[in-house]
Amino acid sequence: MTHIVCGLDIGSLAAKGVLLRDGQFLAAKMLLTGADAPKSISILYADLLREVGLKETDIATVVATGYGRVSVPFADKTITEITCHARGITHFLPQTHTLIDLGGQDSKAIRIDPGGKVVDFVMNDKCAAGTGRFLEVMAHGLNFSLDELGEAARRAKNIVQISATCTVFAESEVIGMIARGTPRDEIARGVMTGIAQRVVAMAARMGIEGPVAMSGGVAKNLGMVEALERELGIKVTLPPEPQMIGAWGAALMAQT
Amino acid sequence: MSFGDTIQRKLQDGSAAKFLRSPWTYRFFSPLLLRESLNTRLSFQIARDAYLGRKPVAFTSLFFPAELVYALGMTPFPLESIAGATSSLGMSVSFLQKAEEQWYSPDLCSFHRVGLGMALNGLLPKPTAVLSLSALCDGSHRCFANIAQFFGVPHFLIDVPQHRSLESLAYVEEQIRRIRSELEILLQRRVQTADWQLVFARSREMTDAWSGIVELQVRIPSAVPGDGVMSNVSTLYSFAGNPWGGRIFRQWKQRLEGEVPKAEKYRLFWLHLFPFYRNDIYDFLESKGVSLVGDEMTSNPFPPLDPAQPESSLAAKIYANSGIGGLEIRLQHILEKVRERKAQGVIHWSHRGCRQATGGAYLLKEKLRQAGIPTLILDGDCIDPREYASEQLRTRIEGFLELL
Repeated sequence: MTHIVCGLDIGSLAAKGVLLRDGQFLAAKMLLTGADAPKSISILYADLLREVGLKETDIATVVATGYGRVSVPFADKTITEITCHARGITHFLPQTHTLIDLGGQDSKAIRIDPGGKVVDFVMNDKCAAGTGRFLEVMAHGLNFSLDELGEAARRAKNIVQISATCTVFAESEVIGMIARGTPRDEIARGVMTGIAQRVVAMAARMGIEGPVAMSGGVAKNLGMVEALERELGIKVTLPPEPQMIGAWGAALMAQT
Repeated sequence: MSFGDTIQRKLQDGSAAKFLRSPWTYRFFSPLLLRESLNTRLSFQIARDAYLGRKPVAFTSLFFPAELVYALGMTPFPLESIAGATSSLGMSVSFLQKAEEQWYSPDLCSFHRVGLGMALNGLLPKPTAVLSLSALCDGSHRCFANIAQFFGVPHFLIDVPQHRSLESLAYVEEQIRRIRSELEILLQRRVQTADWQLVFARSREMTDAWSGIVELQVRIPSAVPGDGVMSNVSTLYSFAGNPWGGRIFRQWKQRLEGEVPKAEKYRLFWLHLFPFYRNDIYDFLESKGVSLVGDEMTSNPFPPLDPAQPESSLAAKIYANSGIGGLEIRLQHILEKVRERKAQGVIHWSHRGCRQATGGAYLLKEKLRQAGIPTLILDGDCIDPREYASEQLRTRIEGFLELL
């Protein structure tokens, strides 16, 4: 008899789901959470099941994580994204000691012991700087898509200092720089560097120990990954599909 | 309607100042008080004495030795505790806004901004003197000096050196002696040995009764609810020497003993302060099987008070607080209490305005980690509910419990 489990990671921007059959990958889906989280969750779950021709009764256990974890009425268990991200990353990159997860509305750094257990964590405090939402706002101010923002940062030969730490102030600063004729690539690099400095300072509070890996939607932005590597002074390893790590972790937790 | 509910309503409709200063208020509520808790009766008595001017009022800071105030026949009016009370009544935001309108920076501690806002709104009784201590909070005395100036009354500060030594102790003792003497002249009343005997006996009776609560806290899972654990700092310090303290804690203990122990999955010790406004932290902790086995502020020792040497006794009591001195003293105290109470971890509530506590929080966390004690630091504000983000806090707490 096969054992099928589901992990759902309901984030502020995106809802992700992973199905595992006997510990092996079966299916994965992601959609925007939107304003109506319960509706998005229903659609996500139905899409996942439909893709592999399963019914709800075929799923042995559902574990929900992320800020919307309490909005999953059919979840058998809820676990925080802190534990799920740690579990997910050690599945793909078992050597990881420090995980930096940059999601839509929060950034966190997680210390993991060799057994994959969370030893400590720190999270951003009431400030969106360092999160996906911040990047979106900055990209909008620079008239870039998120991908273009990362590429622009990588192309830049020079860097400008983005001194503001508040998202709204930073956006107005960016607009002011554009008006003064500062190249957009350099501003993009300044934005990435500013975020990386904040994230590294936050992670340093609990101690950064290599190897360092990165998860969350922001990890798909290579400009951001490189900025983090420059600030950390070490290589940052990426798992396949970093945005799905929380859902993977939840699915793996559902197995146990 | 209770006295507390009525104050809340009057604060909302803007008639609280008149209500608190009217003798009819106290005549009306006095007979009804027998049905109220002793804590409410103590608050009622303080409000009556202060707002009707029955006794000279001393605005005090949290750790100012209240025994001196009671011995002088004054009513202590601890502004930080009052700020806590307004926050729990859901009224702190209007006072914070009032202070901010008058150019007090939002970066200033919210405990003090509420005090300033209340003064500006005409809601404080007229004090005879303002008494403050430079410990634990070394920013408070500037606010207290400001409030003294606002009311045109003298401000007496006990400057507490952070360096612990016999010289520091003697320096504090001398200041208490001088303040006592100046207040005796101001009030035209001399403190007699009998006054010290009475006040010290009441203070001792209260701390003895408090140790009964602590014993329950340690022995019976979740015997004392989270908000109960947290709400006694001001009773223990700001009202030390009042006639009700011993009875308040004995009565509370009796009530708690009758309650059914709850399931206990985790034992945690709380550090620094706690939010006073309505919040879901304690319910959430309880739902997760967390038993709070004490907190840093109320677990300080209370040394014996000798009526023959009142000033040196009070100086020693001030220095019994582990928040005075280097971080290593605080650490030692926490380690001792965590081990004594068999706590698995600690939560440090970092009140934004408390630079002296939050500044060392991460260093403390690292030292506790080395001692095998996991620490969760929660950044927030004790007074301003606008700073509270329930979901963010839940995730941090839940993540911490999973880690345990």
